Amino acid sequence: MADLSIDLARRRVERAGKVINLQPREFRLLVYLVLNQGTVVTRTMLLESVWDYHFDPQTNVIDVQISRLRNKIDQDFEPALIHTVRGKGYMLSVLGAAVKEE
Amino acid sequence: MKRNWRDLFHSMAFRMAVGFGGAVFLCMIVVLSVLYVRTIGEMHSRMDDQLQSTLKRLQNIYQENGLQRVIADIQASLEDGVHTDSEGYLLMERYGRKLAGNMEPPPLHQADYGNARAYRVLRDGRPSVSRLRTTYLSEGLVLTVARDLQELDSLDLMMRQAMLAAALVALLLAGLGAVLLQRHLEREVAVIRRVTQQVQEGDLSQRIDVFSDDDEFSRLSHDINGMLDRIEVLMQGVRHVSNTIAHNLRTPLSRIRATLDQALTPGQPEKTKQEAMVYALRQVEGLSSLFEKLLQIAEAETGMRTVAMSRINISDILLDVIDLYEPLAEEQGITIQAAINPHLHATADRDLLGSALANLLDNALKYAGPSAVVQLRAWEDMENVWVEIEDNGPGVSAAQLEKMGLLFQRGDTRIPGHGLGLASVQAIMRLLGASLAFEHAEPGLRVRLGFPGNLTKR
Repeated sequence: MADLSIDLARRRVERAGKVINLQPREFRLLVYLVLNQGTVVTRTMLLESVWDYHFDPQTNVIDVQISRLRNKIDQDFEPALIHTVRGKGYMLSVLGAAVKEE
Repeated sequence: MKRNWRDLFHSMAFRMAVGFGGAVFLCMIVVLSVLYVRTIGEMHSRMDDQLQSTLKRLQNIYQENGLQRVIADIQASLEDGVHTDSEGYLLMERYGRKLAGNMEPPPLHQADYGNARAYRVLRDGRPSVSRLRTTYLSEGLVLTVARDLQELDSLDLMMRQAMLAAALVALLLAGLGAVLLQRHLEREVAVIRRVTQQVQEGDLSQRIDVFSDDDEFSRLSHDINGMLDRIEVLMQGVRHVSNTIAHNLRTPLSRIRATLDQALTPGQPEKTKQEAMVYALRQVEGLSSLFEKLLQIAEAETGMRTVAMSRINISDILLDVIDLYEPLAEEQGITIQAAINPHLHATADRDLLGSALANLLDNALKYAGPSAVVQLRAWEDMENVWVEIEDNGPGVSAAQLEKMGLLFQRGDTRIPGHGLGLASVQAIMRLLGASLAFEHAEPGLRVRLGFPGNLTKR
């Protein structure tokens, strides 16, 4: 996806050829965002799929989790992949993105 | 007065007292009647026995010693001074001539006196109602013995009078008791009714005066007072909740209104309009999330939400929640320390419990302040699985501690929020059948959850 590649089997993430170290939950967040790229993902959906709990999280909890991920994925690279959709949630999008599965 | 009597009859206390009085009265009548019949009957039969044995004796004398000795014996009996004023004898020839004794012979058409139970005879020239026994000593020789009934009759009369008097007194006492009991109960009930009527009219602050003695009415009054206390607290809670909802609605609504108003004034640049709309949208979102939370609490409190209770691993849920909050804590410079025994199981709903724990941890992070330490502990004893969440922040005052868990009860009002978090935790804990307690951790606050159902070790 763009210059981002995810190796699901080895849990490895690279961007622009550089390896990015992600914690397990950050990895799961990223995978979920990538699988739902182009659509808005709400915080409740993230809690459901990544932590497997069905309740409405306090807003900032997920925000912090996302901002961590964003720091690692987007900070040193262009273009930004993770976008905040005000009042709704997040969306990962870039043209021509694809998950590389091996 | 007429109305008064009807009231009296409608009173349960009066009817009860009358019923009891009537029963006692009836019982007394039966006992006295039996006593009377037995006593009088016994005395009659004893008198009969006496007469019979006298006859027998005289008969024997006649057969063994002849007529003269009988006459002599009768004379002796009449003069011996024993029962002389009540006993009577008559020895005579049939239809006629008296041979001995103190009674006049019967009228001529009558052969003898026979065995009359009560008969008016002339004894010593005076009339006397007597009991009579008659036998034939031989053909033509009649012997009658008699015993005056006056003594027995006067005893009879005395007994009847005593019984009547006793019955009257009993009736009077029963009636008096009924009225007094009715008055007493009426007074006790009136005290309670006065208060309940005032409560009906809307004055919830009224309480019944309870006197120290521990009778049924004081206990009832005590219970009613307890009920009123609870209702008053609940009413205040509801009032507080609706006030707060109104307040929470009014402020954002007026802000939205003002912003949109301003945006609509002619000549505003497009950017201002855009900003106003975004602002309005944010406020509306805040409002809908507030109502969403209120609805969730209401659902949990009324038990409308379906609860999926199962044996779940509380340790895992705690670790998940810590995992969720770790980054947030780190960002605020708060350390989360966990001391969680593995494999703690209890019966609960995974999502509800997760939500409650997230809420509690959220609160701890929010109120403990920067560079605080939040400790999570979980362990089990013989009966319960315990979870503690403790921070070393500023904690709460004693007054706040008591109100924790009430809707719209805010800790530090400088920290944004609606005051719904703990209310929802409390509703969830109630739904799960778990206990929730708040304590001073000095410093800070300690929240302790107790989950029943450590079934494996029970």
